[in-house]
Amino acid sequence: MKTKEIIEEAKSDPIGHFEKIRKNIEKDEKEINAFITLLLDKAEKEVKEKKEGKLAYLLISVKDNILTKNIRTTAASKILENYIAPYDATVISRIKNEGAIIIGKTNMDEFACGSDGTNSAFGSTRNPLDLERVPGGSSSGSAASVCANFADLSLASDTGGSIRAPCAFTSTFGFKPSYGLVSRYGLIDLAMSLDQIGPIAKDTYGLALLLDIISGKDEHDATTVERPVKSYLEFIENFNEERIKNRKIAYAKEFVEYLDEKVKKCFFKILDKLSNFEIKEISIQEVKYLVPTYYLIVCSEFASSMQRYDGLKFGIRNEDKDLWKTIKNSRSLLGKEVKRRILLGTFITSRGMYSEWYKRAMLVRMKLRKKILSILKEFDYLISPTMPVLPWKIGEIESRLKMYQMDILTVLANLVGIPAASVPIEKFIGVQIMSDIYKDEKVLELSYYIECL
Amino acid sequence: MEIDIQRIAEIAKIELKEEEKEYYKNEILKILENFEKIKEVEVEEADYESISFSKNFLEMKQILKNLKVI
Repeated sequence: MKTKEIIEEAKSDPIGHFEKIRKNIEKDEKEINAFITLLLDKAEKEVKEKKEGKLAYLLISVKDNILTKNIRTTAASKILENYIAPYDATVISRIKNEGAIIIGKTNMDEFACGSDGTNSAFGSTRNPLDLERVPGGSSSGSAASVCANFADLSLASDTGGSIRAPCAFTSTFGFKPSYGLVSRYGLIDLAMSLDQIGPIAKDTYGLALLLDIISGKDEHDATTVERPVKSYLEFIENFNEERIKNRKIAYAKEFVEYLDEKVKKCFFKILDKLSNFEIKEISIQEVKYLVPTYYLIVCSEFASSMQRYDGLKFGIRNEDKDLWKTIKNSRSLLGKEVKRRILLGTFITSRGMYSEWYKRAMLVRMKLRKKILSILKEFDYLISPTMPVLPWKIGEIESRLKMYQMDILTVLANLVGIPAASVPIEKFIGVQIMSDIYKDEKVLELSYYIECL
Repeated sequence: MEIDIQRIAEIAKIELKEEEKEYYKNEILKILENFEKIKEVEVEEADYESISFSKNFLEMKQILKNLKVI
C-alpha cells in the first residue's frame, strides 16, 4: 500500500487502520523483534481522539535513541533500560503537532553501534523478508517495522548508513538529510558531527512528507539551518520529468570493486534504465580511506559523548562501596561493541596518539569533503548501490573489521554532510542517491523517478 | 605500537577482567593496523574543527582564547 492510500485509509477509518496494524504486530512481532517498547494501548486511546494535521492518525515507529517524553528510551542498552526522558526530541514534538501517533520505540544496535541489527541488548531484529537474515542496522527495527506493516512511517538516525543500510536490506525507502537540515535535539549521540535524523517509508512520497515536517531551524540545535525550499513534498506531487532529464549522474569505479556479483549486476541494470541521463564513470581514489577515516572519527566522538553514562547523571546505578567503583560497575552494563569503540576512541585521542590518528582522520575528512563537493559541482548526482552485499545470515559475520567494511558505500555522505537516499530496486538491494549539500529535493526527485521505472 | 590497556580503561572508566584486557588490546591493535593506510594520504594543515563543531562553539573558543582563559 502506498503512503497516499494509507493517509486516506487512516483519515477515513482511524480505528480500522489501527486494528489492521495491531493484527500485523500481534501476528509477526514475536519473530521479527522490531520493537523494544510497544505502545499499542496508548496508541489505541489516541486513535479515538480527534487528530488534525498532515500526519493525522498515521502510526509512526521511532528509533529508540530518539527521546520521547514519559516513554522509556533505551538506545537498546542495558544501562538505559529504565530511562524515561523528561522531554520530547524536536522531531517528536513536530510529528505530534501534525497528529501522528507513536506506535512504538524500535530495536536497534546498542547506541547505534552496528551495521546489521544483531547488536542489541534486547535481542536481534530479524529481516521480515527472510527471518534467517539480518535486517541491516543500526536502525534495524525502524526499517523492519515499515517493511512488516507494523508502522506507516518511521523516524530513525543515520551516522554512517544506519537508515540506508536497513532500508536496502528490507526493500524500504530511507533518507539521510543534509547535515543541519533536521534538528538533533533529543537524539542520543553516536557521533555528533555525523549524526542525522531521517525518515523511513514505503515510498518517496512518505519520505518527503515526513521530511517537510521534521526539517528546518531549531533554536535547541545550533547546527540547524532554515529549510532551503518551501516544501519537499511539492517536488514529488508536481514531479516533472522535464525538470530532471538534463541532470548528470556520476558513479565511482572504486565503489564497483567492492560489490558482490548479484549487487553489481543489479546496479548496472539500473544504470541501463537511467540511460536517458548523462552518466559517467569517475574515479575517487580515496574510497579505500573511507572506512578508517569514518571509524576513527566515530570512535573519538563516541568515547567523549559516552562519558555521561556513569550511573550518576544517566543510566542504571550499580551502587558499590565508593564512587569510582559505582561508576565502573554501572558502566559494566555496556555491551562488547560499545566498550570496544569507547576504548579505541579513548586510545586514539590520548596524548601522543591524537595527531597520529584523530587529527589525521579529520584532515583526510576535509580533503575528501573538498573533493566530493567539487565533483557535485560538475554532476548532479553521485550514485552507487547502498550495500555492497546481500543481507547475511544472523551470526554469519563475526569479524569486526569485516562488519566495518560493510559501511564502505554509505559513510561518504555522513563524512561530507550531503543528503543520501536508499531506493529499493530488487529484493534486498537498494540504490543509493547522493547530491550536493542542501539539495535534498534533488535526491528525492531521482528517488521518485527510479521508483516509477 | 604499545597500548597500556589498563590506563586506557581507567580513563574510559571501564573495568576489565584480565582476559578482557588481552582481548580488547588485541582488537584495538588489529583495527589500527588495518587503519594504518590512512597515513598514506597527503594532507594539508587546516582548521579541521570547523567541520566538526558549530559556528557558535568556534566563536566561543576564540573569545576564550582572546581572554587567555584557554
